[in-house]
Amino acid sequence: MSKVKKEYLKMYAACMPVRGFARGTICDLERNKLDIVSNELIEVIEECDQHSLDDVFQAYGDDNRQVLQSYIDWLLANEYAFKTTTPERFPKLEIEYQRPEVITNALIDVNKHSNHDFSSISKSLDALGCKDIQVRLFDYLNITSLLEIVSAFDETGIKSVELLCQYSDEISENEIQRICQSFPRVYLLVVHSSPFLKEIPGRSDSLSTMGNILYTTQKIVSEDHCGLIRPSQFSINTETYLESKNFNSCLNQKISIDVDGVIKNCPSMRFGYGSISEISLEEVATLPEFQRIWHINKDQIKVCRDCEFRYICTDCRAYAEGDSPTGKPSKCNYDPYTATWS
Amino acid sequence: MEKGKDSDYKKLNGLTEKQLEQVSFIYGLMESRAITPPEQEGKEVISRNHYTRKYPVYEHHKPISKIIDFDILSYVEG
Repeated sequence: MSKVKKEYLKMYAACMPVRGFARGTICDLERNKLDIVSNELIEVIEECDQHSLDDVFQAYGDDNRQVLQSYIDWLLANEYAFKTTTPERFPKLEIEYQRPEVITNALIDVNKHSNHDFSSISKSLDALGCKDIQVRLFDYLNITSLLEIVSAFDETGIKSVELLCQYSDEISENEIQRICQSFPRVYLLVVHSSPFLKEIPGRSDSLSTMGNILYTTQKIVSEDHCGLIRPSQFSINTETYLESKNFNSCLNQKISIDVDGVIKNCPSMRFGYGSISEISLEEVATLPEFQRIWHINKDQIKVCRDCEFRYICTDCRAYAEGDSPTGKPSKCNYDPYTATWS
Repeated sequence: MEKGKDSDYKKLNGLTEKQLEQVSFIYGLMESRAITPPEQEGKEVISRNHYTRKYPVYEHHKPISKIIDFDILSYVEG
Protein backbone atom coordinates (compact mmCIF):
# COMPACT_ATOMS: atom_id res chain seq x y z
CA MET A 1 0.00 0.00 0.00
CA SER A 2 1.41 3.39 -0.97
CA LYS A 3 2.12 5.91 1.77
CA VAL A 4 -0.26 8.89 1.85
CA LYS A 5 1.71 12.10 1.37
CA LYS A 6 1.21 14.91 3.85
CA GLU A 7 -0.58 17.99 2.61
CA TYR A 8 0.88 21.47 3.12
CA LEU A 9 -0.51 24.95 2.74
CA LYS A 10 1.92 27.05 0.74
CA MET A 11 1.76 30.78 0.06
CA TYR A 12 2.17 31.87 -3.55
CA ALA A 13 5.68 33.30 -3.89
CA ALA A 14 4.38 36.80 -4.70
CA CYS A 15 2.13 36.97 -1.61
CA MET A 16 4.08 38.33 1.31
CA PRO A 17 2.81 38.17 4.88
CA VAL A 18 4.16 41.12 6.89
CA ARG A 19 3.85 41.16 10.65
CA GLY A 20 3.30 44.52 12.34
CA PHE A 21 2.99 45.42 16.01
CA ALA A 22 -0.80 45.47 16.24
CA ARG A 23 -1.77 43.72 13.02
CA GLY A 24 -0.30 42.40 9.80
CA THR A 25 -0.72 42.64 6.04
CA ILE A 26 -0.52 40.32 3.09
CA CYS A 27 1.06 42.16 0.18
CA ASP A 28 0.14 40.66 -3.15
CA LEU A 29 3.02 41.85 -5.31
CA GLU A 30 1.63 40.24 -8.43
CA ARG A 31 -1.82 41.80 -8.25
CA ASN A 32 -0.67 45.05 -6.62
CA LYS A 33 -3.04 44.91 -3.69
CA LEU A 34 -2.89 44.27 0.00
CA ASP A 35 -5.16 42.95 2.70
CA ILE A 36 -4.94 43.89 6.34
CA VAL A 37 -4.99 40.77 8.50
CA SER A 38 -4.51 39.83 12.13
CA ASN A 39 -1.10 38.81 13.42
CA GLU A 40 -2.80 35.55 14.40
CA LEU A 41 -3.29 34.78 10.72
CA ILE A 42 0.36 35.64 10.01
CA GLU A 43 1.30 33.15 12.73
CA VAL A 44 -0.84 30.47 11.05
CA ILE A 45 0.93 31.17 7.73
CA GLU A 46 4.31 30.81 9.44
CA GLU A 47 3.26 27.54 11.08
CA CYS A 48 1.93 26.18 7.79
CA ASP A 49 5.22 27.08 6.14
CA GLN A 50 7.04 24.74 8.52
CA HIS A 51 4.55 21.95 9.17
CA SER A 52 1.95 19.88 7.34
CA LEU A 53 -1.70 20.83 7.68
CA ASP A 54 -2.42 17.79 9.83
CA ASP A 55 0.38 18.74 12.20
CA VAL A 56 -0.79 22.36 12.37
CA PHE A 57 -4.36 21.32 13.17
CA GLN A 58 -3.06 18.97 15.83
CA ALA A 59 -0.85 21.65 17.37
CA TYR A 60 -3.70 24.16 17.60
CA GLY A 61 -6.06 21.55 19.10
CA ASP A 62 -9.78 20.94 18.68
CA ASP A 63 -10.76 24.22 20.39
CA ASN A 64 -9.18 26.24 17.59
CA ARG A 65 -10.06 23.95 14.68
CA GLN A 66 -12.96 26.06 13.40
CA VAL A 67 -11.04 29.34 13.46
CA LEU A 68 -7.97 27.73 11.92
CA GLN A 69 -10.10 26.23 9.15
CA SER A 70 -11.68 29.63 8.44
CA TYR A 71 -8.20 31.21 8.11
CA ILE A 72 -7.11 28.51 5.69
CA ASP A 73 -10.32 28.77 3.68
CA TRP A 74 -9.86 32.54 3.43
CA LEU A 75 -6.26 32.19 2.18
CA LEU A 76 -7.38 29.67 -0.43
CA ALA A 77 -10.44 31.65 -1.53
CA ASN A 78 -8.36 34.79 -2.03
CA GLU A 79 -5.71 32.84 -3.90
CA TYR A 80 -2.98 33.78 -1.47
CA ALA A 81 -2.16 30.11 -0.84
CA PHE A 82 -2.62 26.66 -2.31
CA LYS A 83 -2.41 23.10 -1.03
CA THR A 84 0.39 20.80 -2.10
CA THR A 85 2.04 17.54 -1.11
CA THR A 86 5.38 18.72 -2.55
CA PRO A 87 6.15 22.07 -0.87
CA GLU A 88 9.84 21.72 -1.69
CA ARG A 89 9.01 22.37 -5.34
CA PHE A 90 7.91 25.92 -4.60
CA PRO A 91 10.86 28.00 -3.44
CA LYS A 92 10.33 31.43 -1.93
CA LEU A 93 11.03 34.62 -3.83
CA GLU A 94 14.68 35.69 -3.67
CA ILE A 95 14.86 38.83 -1.52
CA GLU A 96 17.93 40.25 -3.26
CA TYR A 97 17.62 43.56 -5.09
CA GLN A 98 20.08 44.51 -7.78
CA ARG A 99 19.86 47.02 -10.60
CA PRO A 100 22.37 47.57 -13.40
CA GLU A 101 22.00 51.36 -13.25
CA VAL A 102 23.97 53.60 -10.87
CA ILE A 103 20.98 55.94 -10.58
CA THR A 104 17.39 54.88 -11.27
CA ASN A 105 15.51 58.10 -10.49
CA ALA A 106 16.22 61.79 -10.20
CA LEU A 107 14.55 64.83 -8.74
CA ILE A 108 15.22 68.32 -10.06
CA ASP A 109 13.82 71.41 -8.36
CA VAL A 110 13.44 74.72 -10.15
CA ASN A 111 12.33 78.19 -9.11
CA LYS A 112 12.50 81.56 -10.84
CA HIS A 113 16.13 82.02 -9.72
CA SER A 114 17.37 78.60 -10.91
CA ASN A 115 19.79 78.42 -13.77
CA HIS A 116 20.04 74.69 -14.52
CA ASP A 117 21.57 73.49 -17.78
CA PHE A 118 19.01 70.80 -18.57
CA SER A 119 20.85 69.62 -21.64
CA SER A 120 23.95 68.80 -19.59
CA ILE A 121 21.89 67.34 -16.71
CA SER A 122 20.04 65.10 -19.14
CA LYS A 123 23.30 63.75 -20.62
CA SER A 124 24.73 63.01 -17.17
CA LEU A 125 21.57 61.27 -15.99
CA ASP A 126 21.48 59.22 -19.16
CA ALA A 127 25.12 58.18 -18.60
CA LEU A 128 24.21 57.06 -15.07
CA GLY A 129 21.40 54.90 -16.45
CA CYS A 130 18.63 56.99 -14.91
CA LYS A 131 15.18 55.95 -16.13
CA ASP A 132 12.66 58.13 -14.33
CA ILE A 133 12.80 61.86 -13.57
CA GLN A 134 10.63 64.34 -11.76
CA VAL A 135 11.07 68.07 -12.36
CA ARG A 136 9.30 70.32 -9.85
CA LEU A 137 8.76 73.93 -10.86
CA PHE A 138 7.83 76.00 -7.82
CA ASP A 139 7.34 79.29 -9.69
CA TYR A 140 5.58 80.15 -12.91
CA LEU A 141 7.58 79.45 -16.06
CA ASN A 142 6.27 80.29 -19.53
CA ILE A 143 5.45 77.66 -22.13
CA THR A 144 8.76 78.14 -23.97
CA SER A 145 10.71 77.31 -20.79
CA LEU A 146 8.55 74.26 -20.13
CA LEU A 147 9.15 72.97 -23.63
CA GLU A 148 12.90 73.56 -23.30
CA ILE A 149 13.01 71.49 -20.09
CA VAL A 150 11.01 68.59 -21.45
CA SER A 151 12.78 68.49 -24.80
CA ALA A 152 16.17 68.14 -23.04
CA PHE A 153 15.24 64.52 -22.25
CA ASP A 154 14.58 63.61 -25.88
CA GLU A 155 16.91 61.08 -27.49
CA THR A 156 18.04 59.62 -24.17
CA GLY A 157 17.42 56.34 -22.40
CA ILE A 158 15.18 58.15 -19.93
CA LYS A 159 11.86 56.37 -19.79
CA SER A 160 9.55 58.79 -18.04
CA VAL A 161 9.42 62.44 -17.02
CA GLU A 162 7.04 63.84 -14.43
CA LEU A 163 6.65 67.59 -14.54
CA LEU A 164 5.09 69.77 -11.85
CA CYS A 165 4.39 73.32 -12.94
CA GLN A 166 2.51 76.25 -11.50
CA TYR A 167 -0.90 77.15 -12.85
CA SER A 168 -1.20 80.32 -14.90
CA ASP A 169 -3.94 81.79 -17.09
CA GLU A 170 -1.22 82.31 -19.67
CA ILE A 171 -0.89 78.57 -20.34
CA SER A 172 -4.08 77.06 -21.68
CA GLU A 173 -5.25 73.49 -21.13
CA ASN A 174 -4.65 72.87 -24.85
CA GLU A 175 -1.03 73.92 -24.50
CA ILE A 176 -0.59 71.63 -21.50
CA GLN A 177 -2.08 68.76 -23.49
CA ARG A 178 0.18 69.57 -26.40
CA ILE A 179 3.26 69.10 -24.18
CA CYS A 180 2.12 65.56 -23.39
CA GLN A 181 1.30 64.85 -27.03
CA SER A 182 4.60 66.20 -28.35
CA PHE A 183 6.81 64.54 -25.75
CA PRO A 184 5.92 60.86 -25.24
CA ARG A 185 8.26 60.58 -22.25
CA VAL A 186 5.98 62.81 -20.20
CA TYR A 187 4.19 60.45 -17.88
CA LEU A 188 2.49 62.90 -15.55
CA LEU A 189 2.07 66.64 -15.76
CA VAL A 190 0.83 68.18 -12.55
CA VAL A 191 -0.42 71.76 -12.66
CA HIS A 192 -0.34 72.88 -9.06
CA SER A 193 -1.84 75.98 -7.39
CA SER A 194 -4.74 75.64 -9.82
CA PRO A 195 -8.12 77.23 -9.01
CA PHE A 196 -9.80 73.92 -9.91
CA LEU A 197 -9.25 70.16 -9.64
CA LYS A 198 -9.20 68.21 -12.87
CA GLU A 199 -7.81 64.91 -14.10
CA ILE A 200 -7.14 64.25 -17.77
CA PRO A 201 -6.14 60.59 -18.24
CA GLY A 202 -3.39 59.97 -20.75
CA ARG A 203 -3.14 57.67 -23.73
CA SER A 204 -2.74 53.94 -23.14
CA ASP A 205 -0.43 51.56 -24.86
CA SER A 206 0.25 47.94 -24.02
CA LEU A 207 2.65 48.70 -21.16
CA SER A 208 1.53 51.85 -19.42
CA THR A 209 -0.50 55.00 -19.65
CA MET A 210 1.55 58.08 -20.51
CA GLY A 211 0.64 61.73 -20.72
CA ASN A 212 -1.60 61.98 -17.64
CA ILE A 213 -2.52 65.51 -16.56
CA LEU A 214 -3.63 66.56 -13.12
CA TYR A 215 -4.73 70.05 -12.14
CA THR A 216 -4.58 70.33 -8.37
CA THR A 217 -5.51 73.10 -5.98
CA GLN A 218 -2.58 72.06 -3.79
CA LYS A 219 0.02 74.82 -3.58
CA ILE A 220 3.55 73.49 -4.08
CA VAL A 221 5.91 76.42 -3.67
CA SER A 222 8.99 74.76 -2.19
CA GLU A 223 10.56 71.42 -1.33
CA ASP A 224 9.17 71.81 2.21
CA HIS A 225 5.88 70.38 0.92
CA CYS A 226 7.51 66.99 0.29
CA GLY A 227 7.68 63.95 2.56
CA LEU A 228 3.97 63.12 2.81
CA ILE A 229 3.34 59.59 4.01
CA ARG A 230 -0.13 58.55 2.90
CA PRO A 231 -1.76 55.28 1.83
CA SER A 232 -2.16 56.86 -1.61
CA GLN A 233 1.65 56.92 -1.86
CA PHE A 234 1.99 53.21 -1.07
CA SER A 235 3.52 51.18 -3.83
CA ILE A 236 2.59 47.51 -3.85
CA ASN A 237 4.83 45.78 -6.32
CA THR A 238 7.77 43.38 -6.34
CA GLU A 239 10.38 46.03 -7.11
CA THR A 240 9.40 48.34 -4.25
CA TYR A 241 9.05 45.43 -1.82
CA LEU A 242 12.49 44.03 -2.62
CA GLU A 243 14.11 47.47 -2.66
CA SER A 244 12.56 48.27 0.75
CA LYS A 245 13.84 45.00 2.19
CA ASN A 246 17.40 45.84 1.15
CA PHE A 247 17.70 49.59 0.79
CA ASN A 248 16.09 52.90 1.63
CA SER A 249 12.87 53.01 -0.32
CA CYS A 250 13.04 56.74 -0.98
CA LEU A 251 16.69 57.55 -1.54
CA ASN A 252 18.22 54.39 -2.96
CA GLN A 253 19.75 55.17 -6.36
CA LYS A 254 18.18 58.64 -6.34
CA ILE A 255 20.04 61.86 -7.12
CA SER A 256 18.64 65.36 -6.71
CA ILE A 257 19.43 68.91 -7.69
CA ASP A 258 17.93 71.66 -5.56
CA VAL A 259 16.75 75.08 -6.75
CA ASP A 260 20.26 76.51 -6.24
CA GLY A 261 21.92 73.79 -8.31
CA VAL A 262 23.33 71.89 -5.33
CA ILE A 263 23.54 68.12 -5.78
CA LYS A 264 21.94 66.24 -2.88
CA ASN A 265 20.37 62.93 -1.95
CA CYS A 266 17.09 64.84 -1.60
CA PRO A 267 16.41 68.56 -2.17
CA SER A 268 14.88 68.82 1.31
CA MET A 269 18.11 67.72 2.98
CA ARG A 270 20.52 70.29 4.31
CA PHE A 271 23.71 68.54 3.24
CA GLY A 272 24.88 68.94 -0.36
CA TYR A 273 27.82 67.57 -2.35
CA GLY A 274 28.60 70.71 -4.32
CA SER A 275 27.14 72.81 -7.09
CA ILE A 276 26.43 71.18 -10.41
CA SER A 277 28.57 73.89 -12.00
CA GLU A 278 31.58 72.59 -10.03
CA ILE A 279 31.10 68.83 -9.72
CA SER A 280 29.34 66.41 -12.05
CA LEU A 281 26.38 64.17 -11.22
CA GLU A 282 28.54 61.19 -12.24
CA GLU A 283 31.21 62.08 -9.67
CA VAL A 284 28.72 62.58 -6.83
CA ALA A 285 26.69 59.46 -7.62
CA THR A 286 29.65 57.16 -7.05
CA LEU A 287 30.86 58.76 -3.79
CA PRO A 288 30.64 56.27 -0.86
CA GLU A 289 29.30 59.02 1.44
CA PHE A 290 26.57 59.85 -1.09
CA GLN A 291 25.51 56.19 -1.20
CA ARG A 292 25.67 55.62 2.56
CA ILE A 293 22.06 56.65 3.18
CA TRP A 294 20.86 54.23 0.50
CA HIS A 295 21.45 51.39 2.98
CA ILE A 296 19.05 52.56 5.72
CA ASN A 297 16.16 50.18 5.19
CA LYS A 298 12.76 50.16 6.90
CA ASP A 299 13.79 47.46 9.37
CA GLN A 300 16.33 49.93 10.82
CA ILE A 301 13.99 52.90 11.18
CA LYS A 302 12.38 53.56 14.54
CA VAL A 303 8.62 52.90 14.67
CA CYS A 304 8.59 51.96 10.96
CA ARG A 305 10.21 48.64 11.86
CA ASP A 306 7.00 47.77 13.74
CA CYS A 307 4.68 48.91 10.96
CA GLU A 308 2.79 46.45 8.79
CA PHE A 309 3.10 48.79 5.77
CA ARG A 310 6.89 49.11 5.97
CA TYR A 311 7.76 47.36 2.70
CA ILE A 312 5.26 49.21 0.53
CA CYS A 313 5.70 52.67 2.07
CA THR A 314 8.37 54.79 0.45
CA ASP A 315 9.77 56.51 3.54
CA CYS A 316 11.26 59.99 3.96
CA ARG A 317 14.72 60.66 5.41
CA ALA A 318 14.65 64.45 5.03
CA TYR A 319 11.92 65.07 7.60
CA ALA A 320 12.58 62.54 10.35
CA GLU A 321 11.76 62.64 14.05
CA GLY A 322 14.64 63.77 16.25
CA ASP A 323 16.56 64.78 13.14
CA SER A 324 17.96 61.25 13.31
CA PRO A 325 19.02 59.26 10.24
CA THR A 326 16.88 56.40 11.58
CA GLY A 327 13.98 58.49 12.96
CA LYS A 328 10.36 57.90 11.97
CA PRO A 329 9.22 60.15 9.06
CA SER A 330 7.79 63.18 10.85
CA LYS A 331 5.05 63.69 8.25
CA CYS A 332 3.71 60.16 8.81
CA ASN A 333 0.62 60.21 10.98
CA TYR A 334 0.20 56.46 11.28
CA ASP A 335 0.72 54.79 14.65
CA PRO A 336 1.48 51.09 14.17
CA TYR A 337 1.07 50.45 17.92
CA THR A 338 -2.61 51.41 17.84
CA ALA A 339 -3.12 50.81 14.10
CA THR A 340 -4.65 54.27 13.64
CA TRP A 341 -4.14 57.22 11.29
CA SER A 342 -4.46 60.52 13.12
CA MET B 1 0.07 21.61 -27.94
CA GLU B 2 -1.21 20.50 -24.59
CA LYS B 3 1.45 21.57 -22.13
CA GLY B 4 3.34 18.80 -20.38
CA LYS B 5 1.56 15.95 -22.13
CA ASP B 6 2.70 16.09 -25.73
CA SER B 7 5.43 13.60 -26.60
CA ASP B 8 7.34 16.18 -28.73
CA TYR B 9 7.43 18.45 -25.74
CA LYS B 10 9.23 15.71 -23.81
CA LYS B 11 11.71 15.10 -26.60
CA LEU B 12 12.52 18.77 -27.12
CA ASN B 13 13.27 19.36 -23.48
CA GLY B 14 14.95 16.03 -22.79
CA LEU B 15 13.13 15.71 -19.49
CA THR B 16 12.65 12.53 -17.54
CA GLU B 17 9.11 11.48 -16.65
CA LYS B 18 9.65 12.66 -13.07
CA GLN B 19 11.03 16.04 -14.17
CA LEU B 20 8.18 16.44 -16.59
CA GLU B 21 5.67 15.71 -13.86
CA GLN B 22 7.25 18.43 -11.72
CA VAL B 23 7.34 20.98 -14.53
CA SER B 24 3.76 20.36 -15.61
CA PHE B 25 2.58 20.55 -12.03
CA ILE B 26 4.31 23.90 -11.43
CA TYR B 27 3.17 25.17 -14.81
CA GLY B 28 -0.37 24.17 -13.93
CA LEU B 29 -0.23 26.08 -10.67
CA MET B 30 1.22 29.14 -12.35
CA GLU B 31 -1.61 29.09 -14.85
CA SER B 32 -4.19 28.67 -12.12
CA ARG B 33 -3.18 32.00 -10.59
CA ALA B 34 -3.76 34.57 -13.28
CA ILE B 35 -2.45 38.10 -12.81
CA THR B 36 -6.01 39.34 -13.04
CA PRO B 37 -7.76 38.50 -9.76
CA PRO B 38 -10.94 36.40 -9.91
CA GLU B 39 -13.15 39.35 -9.07
CA GLN B 40 -11.78 41.20 -12.10
CA GLU B 41 -12.59 38.44 -14.59
CA GLY B 42 -14.39 39.75 -17.61
CA LYS B 43 -13.08 43.23 -16.96
CA GLU B 44 -10.15 44.89 -18.67
CA VAL B 45 -6.78 43.54 -17.57
CA ILE B 46 -5.06 46.19 -15.47
CA SER B 47 -1.31 46.11 -15.18
CA ARG B 48 1.36 47.33 -12.75
CA ASN B 49 0.25 49.91 -10.20
CA HIS B 50 -2.99 50.57 -11.93
CA TYR B 51 -5.13 48.03 -10.17
CA THR B 52 -6.24 50.00 -7.15
CA ARG B 53 -6.18 53.43 -8.70
CA LYS B 54 -8.52 55.42 -10.82
CA TYR B 55 -5.58 56.20 -13.05
CA PRO B 56 -1.89 55.45 -12.64
CA VAL B 57 0.09 57.66 -10.33
CA TYR B 58 3.64 56.76 -11.17
CA GLU B 59 5.48 55.19 -14.04
CA HIS B 60 8.45 54.56 -11.76
CA HIS B 61 7.83 51.61 -9.45
CA LYS B 62 7.41 54.03 -6.53
CA PRO B 63 6.77 57.77 -6.17
CA ILE B 64 9.91 59.77 -6.99
CA SER B 65 8.89 62.38 -4.44
CA LYS B 66 6.00 62.60 -2.03
CA ILE B 67 4.95 66.17 -2.70
CA ILE B 68 1.64 65.61 -4.47
CA ASP B 69 -1.23 64.83 -2.14
CA PHE B 70 -3.12 62.24 -4.13
CA ASP B 71 -5.66 61.88 -1.33
CA ILE B 72 -7.63 64.65 -2.98
CA LEU B 73 -8.41 62.25 -5.80
CA SER B 74 -10.98 59.50 -5.76
CA TYR B 75 -9.90 55.90 -5.94
CA VAL B 76 -11.46 52.76 -7.20
CA GLU B 77 -11.72 50.12 -4.50
CA GLY B 78 -9.27 47.30 -5.14
